[in-house]
Amino acid sequence: MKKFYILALSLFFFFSLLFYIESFGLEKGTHAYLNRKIIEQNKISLNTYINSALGFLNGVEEIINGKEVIVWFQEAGRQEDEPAYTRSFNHFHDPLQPWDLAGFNKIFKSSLVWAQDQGMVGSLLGGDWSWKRARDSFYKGLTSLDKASREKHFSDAFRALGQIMHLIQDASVPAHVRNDPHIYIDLFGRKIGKYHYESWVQDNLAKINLSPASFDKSIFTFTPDSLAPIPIANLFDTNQYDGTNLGITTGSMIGITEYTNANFFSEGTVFKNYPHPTYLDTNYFSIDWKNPEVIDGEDGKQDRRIYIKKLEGERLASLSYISYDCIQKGSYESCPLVLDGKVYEEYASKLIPRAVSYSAGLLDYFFRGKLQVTSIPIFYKNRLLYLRVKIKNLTPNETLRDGVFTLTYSFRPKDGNPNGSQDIWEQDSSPSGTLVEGEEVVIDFFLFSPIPRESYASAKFTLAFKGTLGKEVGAVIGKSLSLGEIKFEEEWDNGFTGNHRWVIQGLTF
Amino acid sequence: MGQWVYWESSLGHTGINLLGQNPDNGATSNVIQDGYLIKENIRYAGYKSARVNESYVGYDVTGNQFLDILPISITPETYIQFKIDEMGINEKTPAPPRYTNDWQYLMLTFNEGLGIQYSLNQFIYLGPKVVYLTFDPKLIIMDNLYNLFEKAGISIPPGGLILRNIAFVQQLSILDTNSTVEHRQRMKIDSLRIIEGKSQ
Repeated sequence: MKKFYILALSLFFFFSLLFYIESFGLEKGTHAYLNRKIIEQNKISLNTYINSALGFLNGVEEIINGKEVIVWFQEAGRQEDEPAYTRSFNHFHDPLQPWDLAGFNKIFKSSLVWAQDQGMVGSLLGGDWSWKRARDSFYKGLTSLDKASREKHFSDAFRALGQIMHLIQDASVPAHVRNDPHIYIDLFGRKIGKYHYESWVQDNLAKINLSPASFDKSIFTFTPDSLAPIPIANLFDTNQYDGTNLGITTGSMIGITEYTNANFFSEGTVFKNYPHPTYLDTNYFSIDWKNPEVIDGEDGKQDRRIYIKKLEGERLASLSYISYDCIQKGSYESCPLVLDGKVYEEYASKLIPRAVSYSAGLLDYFFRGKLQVTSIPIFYKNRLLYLRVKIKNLTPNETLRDGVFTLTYSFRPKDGNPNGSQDIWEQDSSPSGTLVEGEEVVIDFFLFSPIPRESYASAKFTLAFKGTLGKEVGAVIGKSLSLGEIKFEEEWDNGFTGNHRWVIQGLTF
Repeated sequence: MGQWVYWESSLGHTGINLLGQNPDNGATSNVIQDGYLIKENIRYAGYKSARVNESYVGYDVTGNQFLDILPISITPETYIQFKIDEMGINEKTPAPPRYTNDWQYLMLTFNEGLGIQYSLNQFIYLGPKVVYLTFDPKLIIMDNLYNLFEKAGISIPPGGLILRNIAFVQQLSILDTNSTVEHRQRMKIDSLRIIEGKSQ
């Protein structure tokens, strides 16, 4: 069996190179579009964090490593399907299976595991763009000792995040959570395969509602399976839905795969393979079969169709085009059910807003760490020798522990090249200790390369924490620092009154 | 903590007469050497009259001509940072128990009579609104100004705290009889800064 899948994968890879496969998940263009829109929707909060953490001025429009931050996210939407959709086999998660068997055909990694651990094989096909990669790259960006490396690592972090957003968006596709492979090939202009939800979304991007669905940050408080221990797994699957408790799946504290699996059909799983939706969840038994809806068909002509709807009213499936004859003859039960444009439109109106809000939730979780810092420079012989930093953990309801604070700094030496090529970079580290929300620690960072007074204005500091934050091991927080103001300064380096108008008084009394 | 000193004079430790001069009873010097201000205040043996050597900025008297960049507004994140390598006298002057007749200190004077005095056993008592502190010579000392008052139980004025004056003072007070030894005060000051911590 295993040999069969290896062969199948090899053949798929081969043919993928020959032909353009339009879809094995939401279309690449859809992901790029969604990523950009999500970044734009969250621009204010992202700008605040990015500028504060990284010392940027332009937030998501800052150009790093040759592109705007927002473009790194946008392109990542496409890149998760490259090369040649080979990574797409890991974009499935069945929430009713144990996580080690929840991937495509129980062979490939579940998408929520893939988001956290892509392993060596995954890395061979396009690289490791997991959460761990995002965290590592972000930390390296904060602590690298030259500008080019910092930008490279930051762009990698944004790319990894963008590729995980792609996984969340795919988890809003019914076929991806109901183990339903679906391929649609463009063979030199000739379409082969079945038109499906993802294709419809791509074709109708302009009219899709992108307003985010409600999202409850408390979802991160669930403790995930050890296979994917970082709480972002809860965005995909909270392990609450077990097939018998449908009611729980429509709330905001539910994984997106649970919501999608329980409430929508994929093309190949209409009323089969999964406990929900069932006939009882729909209007099936009360349909007025003799009065189909008259709709505008895909061909532009009016058409008459019977729709299976959820009890709340959304279209779930329709009788297919060929069902018309069945309807005429009254053989409704034997009529094949399909998902048509009207169905897809209603699916998208529910699923895309979830994909949008959960993707934004991912970003919010990544950037959730908040530090308030106060910097106090300490001088010796007209050189900045230490930087005292008061660090307060302001992350709501999360304790920071078992980590390290690293202060990285640079300054331009006197007469240094304005392009920064002669800037001096250094860093110092100190254990973080444990800081519950609101607690503070004071650390004196030693500047191994003391900053001359004349270079004070050019000095830039970045504080990075790496350690455990709440339930996340390997969390990273960044904070850009600027130095305090020197209100009065006397080093006696410029004569007695060269710096200040000192007065000498000798008075007898 | 340094010795508390009670001095009852109503004159204040220095006069406001800028033209006042020491009598011909010793020598004072203020020398810049290798980035240090070295202050010496010497009264020769055979004299009992007082002698002072004070360096200051910020007195808002005599037409405000020595304000320099003072006054400085002080916030909860304002720090003093200084390094003084020496602040001593070759031999203590005679004085009643718990009193001293030689003073040497760094003094910060604020609005509403508040003050902070750093010394090494040569304090002068200037009232209950002054915080009296010892320090480690040759080390960089950094203190939060608000915290110093808070710890001493001194309230910050409602309108805020304003630093009005910074002074390094050496003073040998009047003795009952002529001294039989030469008294030599010496202070070696490396640096002094007032820094605003930046909260972000």
